Amino acid sequence: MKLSFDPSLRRPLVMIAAGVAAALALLPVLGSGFAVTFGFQFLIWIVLALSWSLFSGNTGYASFGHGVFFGIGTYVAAAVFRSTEAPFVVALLAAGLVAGLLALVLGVAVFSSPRFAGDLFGLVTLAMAFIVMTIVSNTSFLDGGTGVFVREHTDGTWIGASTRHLFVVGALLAGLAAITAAVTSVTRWGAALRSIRDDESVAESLGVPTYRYKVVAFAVSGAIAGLAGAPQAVFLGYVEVGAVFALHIPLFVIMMAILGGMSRWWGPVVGAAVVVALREALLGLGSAEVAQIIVGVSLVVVIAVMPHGLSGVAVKVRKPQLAKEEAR
Amino acid sequence: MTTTPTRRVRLVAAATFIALVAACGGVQDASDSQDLTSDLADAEIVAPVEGMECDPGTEPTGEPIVVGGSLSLTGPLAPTALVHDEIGKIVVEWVNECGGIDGRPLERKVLDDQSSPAQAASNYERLLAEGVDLVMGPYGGASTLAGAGPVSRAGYAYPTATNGAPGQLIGENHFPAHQFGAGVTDPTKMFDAYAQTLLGALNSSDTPPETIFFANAKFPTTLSYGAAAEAALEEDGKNIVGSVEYDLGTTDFSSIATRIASEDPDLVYLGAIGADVTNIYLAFDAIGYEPRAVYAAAPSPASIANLGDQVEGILLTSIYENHAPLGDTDIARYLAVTFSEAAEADGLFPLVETQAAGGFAAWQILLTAVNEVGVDNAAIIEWLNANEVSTVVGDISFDGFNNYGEDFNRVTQVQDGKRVLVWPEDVAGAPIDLAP
Repeated sequence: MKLSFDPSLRRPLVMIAAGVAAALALLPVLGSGFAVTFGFQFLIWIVLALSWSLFSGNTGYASFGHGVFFGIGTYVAAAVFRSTEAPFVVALLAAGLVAGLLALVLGVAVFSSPRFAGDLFGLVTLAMAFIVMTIVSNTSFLDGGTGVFVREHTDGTWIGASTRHLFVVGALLAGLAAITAAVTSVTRWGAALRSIRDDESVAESLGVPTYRYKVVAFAVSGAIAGLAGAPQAVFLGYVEVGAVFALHIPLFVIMMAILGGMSRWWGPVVGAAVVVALREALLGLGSAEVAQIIVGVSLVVVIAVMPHGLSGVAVKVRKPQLAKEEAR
Repeated sequence: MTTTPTRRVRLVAAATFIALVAACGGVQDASDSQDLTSDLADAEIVAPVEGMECDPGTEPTGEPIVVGGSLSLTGPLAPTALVHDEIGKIVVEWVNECGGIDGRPLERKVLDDQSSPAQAASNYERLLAEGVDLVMGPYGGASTLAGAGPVSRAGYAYPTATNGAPGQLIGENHFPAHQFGAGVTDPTKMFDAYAQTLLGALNSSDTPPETIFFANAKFPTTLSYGAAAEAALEEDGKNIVGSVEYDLGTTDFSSIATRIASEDPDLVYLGAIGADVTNIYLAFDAIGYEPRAVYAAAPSPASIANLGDQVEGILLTSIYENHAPLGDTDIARYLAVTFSEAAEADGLFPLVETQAAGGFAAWQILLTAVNEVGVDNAAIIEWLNANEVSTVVGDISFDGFNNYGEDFNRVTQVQDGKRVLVWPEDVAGAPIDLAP
C-alpha cells in the first residue's frame, strides 16, 4: 500500500485543523459547564460515528458491536487508573491499543470465513458485544460485577480537574478520527474498501486484498473507538457494565452515520450533530417516550427521502451536477 | 455481499428504530391494585415535612422555587425511576396546595437521561446552566455518581433517594435518604449493617433457618449485599449449601432451580432484581419444587404482588411499609392516599414501599432544609450536615462514612397477602413467621 500526499486532501485537512483549532479557541469563552459538557459529548459521538463509518460505511459490513470497542476502552482506562499511577496519556493509549487488538483478533477470525459476509457479520458483532460484557462482568481486574470507581483515582490529576480538559482531549480525538476518515476517502486504501462494499467478489478478482484490508480497517476503527473510551471513563466517574455496554450506544452511532450519509467522509459528523442536537432539544418536550419516537421516525423519514443522507442533500444543493453523476 | 447498500441501510434503520422504541420505558404492571389499596383510609392534607406550615386553599404567588433533576424516564431503569418521578409530581402539587414555601410556588424541572449516566451528567449541567434553584438526585448509583460531578462543582446540595453501592461517593453536599451500605464506619465493611439486620430477622424466628442457598444477580448492589450476608450467616453458624451468580438479563433459571431443589435448603437467598423473582418461581413451578422459605434482596414490588399466593411468607429487603409505626402519621397517611391514586392512574405499583418512601424522604430532606434556611444551597448543606431530618422512613442524619448515616435496611414479609415489616422490632408490624 503506497501512501503519497494527494493534493485533494489539502482542503479537508485544513478544514479539520481549523475545526479543531476553533473548538479549542472557543473553549475559554464557552460560558457554562453545560456548554462544555455538551460539547465534549458531541465530540465523543463524532469520534464514534466517524470510526464506525471508517469500516462499516466504507466496506458495507454493518457492525452492531461498535459500542464494545468504546466500552472496552472505557474499562481499560478505568483499570489503568485503578491499578497504576500512570498519567492519562498512558490510559488513553492502552484503551486504544486493547480495543484495536480486540478488533484485530475478531477481524482475523471472522473475515477468514466467507460465511460471515453480509448480514451475518452484523449478528456476529452483536454476539461479540454480549460475550465481552460477560467477560468484563466476570473478570475482577476489569470489573467483576461491582463496577469501577474512576473519580477517586483521577481527582487531583490534570484530566480529572475539569471538564474543559476532557473537551480538549475530545477535540483532538475528533480531529484524529476526521483525519483518518478524510485520508481514507481519497487514498487507494479507501477506494479498495469501497470496492468491497460495491462488490467484494469483483474487488477480489481485480487483485484487491480484501481480507487484509477489512482486518486492518476494522482494527483501526475499533482502536479509535477505544481511544474515545478513556476520557469517557473520567467523565462518568464510575463505570459499570450495564451503562458502558448499553445497546443504545452502537445504535445511535449507526443512526448518526446513516442520517449524515456515508458517501462522504464528513457525513457522520453532520449526522452526529443532528442527532445530538435533536435529542437535547427534545429533552424539554415533556414526554420522554414521544421524544425517542420522534428521533426514530426522523431517521426513517430521512432514509426514505434522502438515500445519501443529509450530506448527500447538501452536495445536491451545492453541486447538482456532481450529485446527478453519483446517482447514475 | 448479496444485499444492496440501500437495502442494508434500510435494514439497519429498521433495526435501529425498533430498538429505540423498545428502549422506551418498560411496561408497568399495576397488579391487582384495587385489592392492594382497599385498606387505605382517607387522609387530610398536612404539610409534607415537620415544621412547615400548610394553608390549604392559599394560592402561592411570586417567583417559583425551581428544583431540577434528571431521571431515567426511558430505558432499562425507567420502571423504578418512574416511581420517583411520580413522587416528585406529588410533592410539588402537595407543597403548592399547602400554599407553597414562604408563599412561593414550588416548580419541578425533570430531564430524561434515558438510563445513561453520561446523559445524567449532561442533564445536570444543563439544569444548572438554566439556573434552577435546587436539584434532586437521579435514580441509580452510576447516574448519581455521574451527576455528582457538576452538582458538587456548582456547590449545590445533592439529596438522593435510593442509591446503589458506590464506595466512594460524593462529599459533604450529598444527602441520601436511603444509601445501601450505610450504618458503618469502616468503608471495607459497608454492607455489614445490612447483613446483621437480615441475621437478626432470621434469628428472631422460633425456627431460624440452618441451611441456606445463595443465588445472586451479577449487579453491584446484589453482589455486595450477597457477599456480606453470606459471610455474616456463615459466621453465625449457618450452613451455606450452595452459592451461584447469574448474569443480568437471565430469564431461564431452570438449572439454578434444580440445584436449589437438590439441596432443599431451609432458606433460599435471592440476590434478585426486577422481575428475576418471577422467573425463578416459574422455574420452581416447572420442576414442581416448593422452597421452604425465600428471601429476595431487591425485587420489584409489582413482580412480588403478581405472584400472589405463591410468595406467601417471602422475605424482602425494604425500608418502609405502609403500617404503624412508620405509616401511622398524618404525613404518611396523606402520602399513601395521594400516591396510590396517582400510581394507579399511571399504571405503577400503588403502595408506598422502598422506592416511593425513599423518594419522598429525599424530598423531605430538601424541603426541611429549605424551610429552615431558605433557598441557599450553601446554607442548606451546612444545616443538613448539622441537623437530623424527620422523614417517613425515620430520622435521618448525615454523618459517618460518605454521609451515609444510619442504615435503614429492614426486612419485610408477605403475610396473609400483605407486606409487613418484621424486623427490626422498633418498626415491625408483626413478628417474622418462618415455618419449621
